[in-house]
Amino acid sequence: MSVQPTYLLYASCVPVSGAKRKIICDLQRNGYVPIPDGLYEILTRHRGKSHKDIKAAYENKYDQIIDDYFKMLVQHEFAFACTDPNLFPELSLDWKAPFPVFNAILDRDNNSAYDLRSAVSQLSGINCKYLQLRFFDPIDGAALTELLQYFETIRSATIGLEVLVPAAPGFTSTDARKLLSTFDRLNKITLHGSPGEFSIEEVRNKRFLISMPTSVDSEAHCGIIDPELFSINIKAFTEAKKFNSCLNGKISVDRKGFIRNCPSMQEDFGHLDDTSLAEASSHPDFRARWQMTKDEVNVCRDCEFRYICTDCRAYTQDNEADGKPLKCGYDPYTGEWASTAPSNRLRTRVRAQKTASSSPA
Amino acid sequence: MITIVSEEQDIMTDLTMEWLARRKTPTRRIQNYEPQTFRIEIDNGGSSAAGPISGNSHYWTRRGKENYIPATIDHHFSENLPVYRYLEQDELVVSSYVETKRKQQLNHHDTGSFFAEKKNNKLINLELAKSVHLLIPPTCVTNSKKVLAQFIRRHKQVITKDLCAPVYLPGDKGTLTSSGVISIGLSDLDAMADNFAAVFVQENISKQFEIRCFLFRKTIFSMAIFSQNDQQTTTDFRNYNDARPNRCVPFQLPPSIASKLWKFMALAELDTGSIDLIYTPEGEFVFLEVNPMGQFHWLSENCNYYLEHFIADSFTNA
Ligand code: SF4
Repeated sequence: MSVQPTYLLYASCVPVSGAKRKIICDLQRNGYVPIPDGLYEILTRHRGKSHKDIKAAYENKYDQIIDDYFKMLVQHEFAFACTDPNLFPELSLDWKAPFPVFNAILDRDNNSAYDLRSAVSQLSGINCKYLQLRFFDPIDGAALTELLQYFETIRSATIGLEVLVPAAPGFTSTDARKLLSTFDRLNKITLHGSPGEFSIEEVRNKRFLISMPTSVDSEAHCGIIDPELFSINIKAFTEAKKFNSCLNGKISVDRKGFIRNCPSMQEDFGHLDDTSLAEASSHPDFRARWQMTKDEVNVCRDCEFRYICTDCRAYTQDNEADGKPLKCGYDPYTGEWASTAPSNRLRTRVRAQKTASSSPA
Repeated sequence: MITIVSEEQDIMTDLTMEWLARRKTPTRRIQNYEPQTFRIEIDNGGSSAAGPISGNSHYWTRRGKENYIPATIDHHFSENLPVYRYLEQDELVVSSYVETKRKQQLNHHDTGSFFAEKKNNKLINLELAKSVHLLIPPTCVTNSKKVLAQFIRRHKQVITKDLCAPVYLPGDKGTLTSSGVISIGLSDLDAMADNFAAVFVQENISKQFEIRCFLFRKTIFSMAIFSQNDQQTTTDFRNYNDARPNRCVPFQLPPSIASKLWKFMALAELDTGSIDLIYTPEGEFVFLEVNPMGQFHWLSENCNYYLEHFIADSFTNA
C-alpha cells in the first residue's frame, strides 16, 4: 500500500453548499460552521486525493492556504490526517423507519367532539411511537389521568407522549408533576399561559415539566424557523435528504376531528368519525406531502441549512405548495437573517425547549 | 417463531423487534433470567425436549440467559446462600443441555450463546488471535509483585484492565467499580504486597485510532474511534467525555484483517461478538479482545448502519 498522506473530514462532518455560503454540518457534535468557498471545493471535489495532489490541482499557487485550512480543520477536530482514504467510507445516507407513521398530533379544545380514545388506540394500532396532545382550552386533571391510564390498558405502542395544557386552577404544575412521576410513557408536559417566567424542570429521569407564559390557543403557533431549532444529527439530516423534515411520518387530528398531515394544513383526508387513521395515512396524496424535500422548495433549495432546518408546509410564501416557510427570516442569497428574526427571548426559550425534547428514545 | 433472549433495557433488541413486527414475524422475547417451564426426556427410544428448545425458526441469545429455576424459588433464596449456588449449578446442567440441543436442531439458525459468553477467556483469545497471525499486545498475568515489576521495566508503558468482567460491587459506602483501562507504573507497586490476586497487564500500544467491529453471522461492521486528541480519553475511549464525544466514523476493514477475524471467530466458536482492535501509527492492526454479547447500538448509530434492520432481515431471509 503506497503511503499518500492526506486529510479527510470525519464522516459525520458533511459539507453543504448554499447560494452564498458553505457550511460543514457536524452531525455528531450537533453544530455547524461556515467555511470558505475554496475549502468547500477542496473537501468535495478533491475528497480522498493526496495532500500533494490537492495542492497540484491548484497549480501549487495556494499551498500555504491549503496547509492552513487543514491545520485548522484538524485542530477543531473536523478532519484527521490519514494515509489510506479507502478505509474511511462516507456516511451512508440511509434513512429507515419500521413503521410509516411515527409521529402524531391530536388537538383538542372545549368544542372537540371526536373520540380521543379511538384516536389513541388507532395510533397504537399503526405503531405510532410519538404523540403530542395539544389542549387549547383548560382541562380537568382527572380526565387526563383517565386517558393516560387508558394508554396502559391498551399496552399502547406509543412510547413517547407529550402534552400541552393551559395552566389553570383545574390543572396546575403540581398535577403535572404527579402525572409525570406516574406514567412512564409521558415524557413532557408543557403548561402554556403560565404565570411567571419561562421555566423547565426535570421531574425525573428525562421527564420534563415546562412552563411558558405564552398561550398556545390555536394551531397557528407553529412553523417557526430559527437556527436554535435546527436538528443537527445523522437521523434528521438523512431524513431531510429524502423526505419532508416536518411532515414525514406525521399524522394529525385537528380540534374539529379532521385528519390532516398537520393541523395547520388546508387539505383534510376525512373525519375521524368515518375515516380510520390507517386509511387516511395511506392515501397517496397524504403520503405525497411526506416526499417534498427542501431540495424542491423555492429558496430553501439554495440554502446551506436545508438538511438541518425544520420545514413548514402550512404557512408558506405566497401560499405556494413549494414556497419557502413563511416564518423564516433567512435569505440564502445574502446569507443574512432578517432583523424581524425572533427575539433573543424566544431564542432562549427555544433553546431550553430543545434541551427538554432531546429525544427520550 | 423467532426467540430473542435479552436484557430488559437492551435497545438493540427493542429496535430489532420493531422490524420483526413490521414483517409480521411471530417473535417471542425472553428477558434475562425469566423463568421458563421445560421438559427433557431421554430414554432408549430417543430423547425429546420441550420448552424454549422447540418451535423456533431462529433463536438469538442477544444478552443473558433463560432460567429454569421457577420464580418462587428464585426469589426465595439470596444468591449468596449455598443452597442457591447448588440449585444454580443444577440449573446450568439443564441450560447447557438445552443450548446444545437447540443448536443441533436449529443448525445455523441459532445465534449467540450464553455459554460462549461464560467461557470467554481473554488469555485464550489472545492465543487464538496470535495463532491466526493477528498482532496482540505483549501481555502478562501474575500474582507476584516481582514478575509485575519485571514486566513494567521491560515494556515501560504498561496498562492494566479487567481480566474477566468489570468490577461492580455495591456496598455500604457506595459502589465499587473498575475504571476501564488505566496506566500502571513502578511507583504504583510500592503500596502492594509481594503477592496479590491476579493482575492483568499489557504493553500500552500507541494508536492512531481504535476500531470496534461488530460481527454477526457472516458480516462485519466496523467503526473507527479517534480518542487520541483528547487527553481525557487517550488510554481507553470508555472513559467517556460527553461534551466532545470521540469522533466515531464508519470504517472499512481491509479484507486480510477481516479474514483473520473470521478465522479467530471460528476457533473461538463464536458466531457473533464485538472485537476491539488498535490501529497503530505504523499502520498495523492489533487485536485486543472480543465481547460475545457487547453493546453495539452506539456503533450502529454513529455509522448509520441500521444494524437492527440488518439483523431482523437476517432472521427472516435465512
Ligand atoms: S431558507 Fe429554507 S432551508 Fe434556509 S433557513 Fe429558511 S426555511 Fe430553512
